[in-house]
Amino acid sequence: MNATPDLDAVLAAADDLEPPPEVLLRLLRVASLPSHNRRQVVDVISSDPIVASRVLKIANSSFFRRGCKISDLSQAVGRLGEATLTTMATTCAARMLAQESVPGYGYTDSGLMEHCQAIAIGARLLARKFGDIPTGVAYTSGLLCDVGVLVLGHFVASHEHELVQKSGAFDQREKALFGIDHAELGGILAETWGLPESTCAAIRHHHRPSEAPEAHRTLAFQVHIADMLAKMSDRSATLDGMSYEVDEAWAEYIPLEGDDVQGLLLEVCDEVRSVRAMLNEPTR
Amino acid sequence: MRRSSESPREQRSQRRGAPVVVGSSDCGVARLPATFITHGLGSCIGLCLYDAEAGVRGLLHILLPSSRIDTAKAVKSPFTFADTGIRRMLADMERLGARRGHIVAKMAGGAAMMGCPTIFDVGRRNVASVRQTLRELGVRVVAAEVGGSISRTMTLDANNTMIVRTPGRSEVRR
Repeated sequence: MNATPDLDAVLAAADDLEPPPEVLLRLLRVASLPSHNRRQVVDVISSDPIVASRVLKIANSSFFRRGCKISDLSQAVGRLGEATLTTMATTCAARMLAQESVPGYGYTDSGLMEHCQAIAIGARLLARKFGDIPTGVAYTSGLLCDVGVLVLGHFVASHEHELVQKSGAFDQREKALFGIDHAELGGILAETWGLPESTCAAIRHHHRPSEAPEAHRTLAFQVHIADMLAKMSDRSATLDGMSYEVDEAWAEYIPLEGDDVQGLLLEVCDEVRSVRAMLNEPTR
Repeated sequence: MRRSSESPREQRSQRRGAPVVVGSSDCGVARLPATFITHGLGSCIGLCLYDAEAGVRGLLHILLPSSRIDTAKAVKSPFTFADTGIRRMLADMERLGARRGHIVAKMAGGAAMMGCPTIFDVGRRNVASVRQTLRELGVRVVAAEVGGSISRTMTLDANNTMIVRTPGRSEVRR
């Protein structure tokens, strides 16, 4: 049996994680501003040639192409619409952070990226339907909520048997074994990267949103429920599976009823398929 | 409609000897020696149907219990729902020579979050809807690995054995 790592070893590994590309951080900050405009989004995307060329390629793809070929980002905004452009650009940039496979949890073939896209899309749908959180904030918070998995996965891989043997919610098992769970670790990473306070809180508390500061609790619940929807429909069988608790206070923040959950699940799956088709990424 | 029975994809996989990969809200139906796999069953259901005598088999990956919530979607994508998906799958199998009275079912999935309130428990409703639809259609369930809070990968091998895998656990063969 492997020796249990102490908290310092996990935090040291978090320090070693390569930070996300600057363009992603800047996009997240802009998308988090309730009053941001399309010029700001274009300016950020223009600063990174890789992301800019990817966005232009998407705008000229058969999925979007209407009429002549376009070659500048302002025209791309007109064709894609600002919300779609932000989605595409943020997802393109975030792909640089996600790995092909993540040890420990069992994500393979970009499974974690697809899981995070589903959470982002679900959180944005919830933000659109309930409350007054800007949809860009909900999307980006969902996209990054499992960033702690990238660090903790290496430790999970060495302690798989102990984690499976323990009872209780998977985040509690992580905490019992490593002194920290992937959500809290993700919150620490987000703070280190200077992400907005609301996004940091939603990442840190996405499995226990009642513990988020009141000002950010609705966003934390949106990501919490979106994560649940993503787990229901994930394309990867993972070690943690659906072994998480539903926060009992959900109805105070997201008033779902009847068949709402099934309708949301259908919308999330359709939109994930659509986004992946736009990005030319396969859906298993 | 997603696909008709024994599509070029199934035929290609048969030639290569590789399992046909069935995605969410999708279905594969073929004759032996085709084998099937579907990944990531959370609240979704993986349903294997086979007629051992005719050598016709298939795997369906169901997302939701009932087409009632979106009848237009059910026309475009019948395999999304248990009620429409199972009926379409049986029709595809019968076109390949399976006989209703000989077809049996094996299923896996239908998980839920821990202590899940009813409104979020799509897995339990999926299991109930699959069982009810199969009962209405006269198909017997001979093996089921359902419920809990684990995610699963399901395979139907050439001997009609359902193999269910979950990371960190021993595989189950039924």
